[in-house]
Amino acid sequence: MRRENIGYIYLLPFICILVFFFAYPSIFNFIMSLYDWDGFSKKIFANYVGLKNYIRLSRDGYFWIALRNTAYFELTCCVFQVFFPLFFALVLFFGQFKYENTIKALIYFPALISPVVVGLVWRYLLSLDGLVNAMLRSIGLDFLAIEWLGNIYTPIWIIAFINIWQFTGYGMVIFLAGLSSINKEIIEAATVDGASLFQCILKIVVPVLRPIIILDLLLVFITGFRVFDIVFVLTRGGPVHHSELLTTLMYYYSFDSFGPNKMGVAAGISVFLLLIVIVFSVIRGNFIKRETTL
Amino acid sequence: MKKLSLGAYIFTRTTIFVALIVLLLPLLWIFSLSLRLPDEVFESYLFLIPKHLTFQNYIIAFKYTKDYLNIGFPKMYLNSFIVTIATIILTVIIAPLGAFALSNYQFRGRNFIYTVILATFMLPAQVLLIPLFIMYKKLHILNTYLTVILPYTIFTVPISMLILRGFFNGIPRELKEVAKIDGASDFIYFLKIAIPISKPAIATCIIWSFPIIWNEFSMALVFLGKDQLKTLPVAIATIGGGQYIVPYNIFAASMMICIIPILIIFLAFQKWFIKGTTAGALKG
Repeated sequence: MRRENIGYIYLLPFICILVFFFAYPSIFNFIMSLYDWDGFSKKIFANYVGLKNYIRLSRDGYFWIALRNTAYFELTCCVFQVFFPLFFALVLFFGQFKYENTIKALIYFPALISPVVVGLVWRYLLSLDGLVNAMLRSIGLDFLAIEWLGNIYTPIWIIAFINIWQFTGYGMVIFLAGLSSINKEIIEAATVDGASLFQCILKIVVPVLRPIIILDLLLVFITGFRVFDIVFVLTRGGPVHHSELLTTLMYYYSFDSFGPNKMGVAAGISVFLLLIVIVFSVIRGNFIKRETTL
Repeated sequence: MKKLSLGAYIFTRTTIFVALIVLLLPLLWIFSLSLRLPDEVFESYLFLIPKHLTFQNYIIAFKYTKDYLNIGFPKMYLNSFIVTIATIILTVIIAPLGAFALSNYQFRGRNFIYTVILATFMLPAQVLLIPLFIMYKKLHILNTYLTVILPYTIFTVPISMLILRGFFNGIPRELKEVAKIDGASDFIYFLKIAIPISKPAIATCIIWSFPIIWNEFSMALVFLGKDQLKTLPVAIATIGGGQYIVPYNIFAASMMICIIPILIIFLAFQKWFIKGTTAGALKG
């Protein structure tokens, strides 16, 4: 064997993982999406239906709600999960805090808690007699003390809010890592020369952070398509599927004991998710490769 | 550095203060609730410090989960622990091997492998559910730890490989030349030199992987259906759902039992967690 090809031997375990847990599921989802299977009957590929599962999805109101919700969720998170982390990172960086590391750790900590627990905590806080409503009542806003998770309008925004709440510290840590490469003396020199802090941020800091902002944006966008647990414990997609995301709708169609057990339709949603995520992950990877300074 | 102006001082302090309140108040309040007597839950509701401190909620929570969720906290933690440790062990075996291949050999298809690694980044676990469920059903291995341990590697190994590849690339070439002159084969060099000096990078990979596996929900939900096999997030997700109602203070204590160990681990490895986050997010 040529010496360089020994590399394959080292890669063998990883290639096995790729085959079983990436290649096989991707292909299988696509094939499954062309069949109708209820998840129980012995023969899986007995009922070839062609593109009917996709047509069914396109005519399914729940699918469009899930798609719309995913779009709302992604949009909100992409804006605020970049803005807040960046803002807090800049404040911490320029604020000359004595306990910078402690503050950083405190803001970061929620990102480590399991989203299930975060969802449960918020489900309780937002319940009719939970903290949020108690606070609203205490400042006289009784009319706002509603059942936050029990109507069809607010839950999807609350889900987005909770996700932003949990992962703001995560993004902040990434931005702070980027900021740490900036020499504070340059900024000091600039301010001595009469530049305002705002000008400094615009001219010195933003160019350094630009690739990291793009990376964080892509990270938020990609991870947004795997959010599932928060919805599962908070609303279970309800009321009447109005807070469903693509991931939870996929679960509803496949494994939910109250669902219709349409594996083919669920596989169709999976194909859709896979395509989006793979495309953007590769874009993100190539972006990192180009920005060699990182 | 120049001192902040008064306006900037007030602005930065207020910002961080508000941020900390919004981020930590929910958790502190749940903590406060978990220390209250049942009849004092609604007394001075908005204040954080309860009138009488009690730890009995925690003891009740242990019994309560065992009775209503059919699985107690010790077993949930054990399940999560087994799954996490096993995945991490697999990761630190497979990822360095693969990373070494990428950084040391110019074999054909290397760029293709690299692109595939990028493509697997943050794969939604949900897309694996149906294919793996069918495979496991055929193999009759549903409801075993292996059904989640093996696929979890697809979330941890690719990024670990990228982190380690970067580290291996940074090892001075001379080190390898010297090893070769001493008659060491590539594998011996890998085992005796590359791995030992990569310890910090391997630690970064472990820390990066830990929360992803510990908190994974959908696969554990579908593949580990038996009550006794449920991991912490899956078991606790059903608390207060369905037919029965959980008292608020017991609920709060249960939440704290989930959060406190993570807090302790975080405090112990704080720097590493922040390093791991950065490495995973900027390299992967």
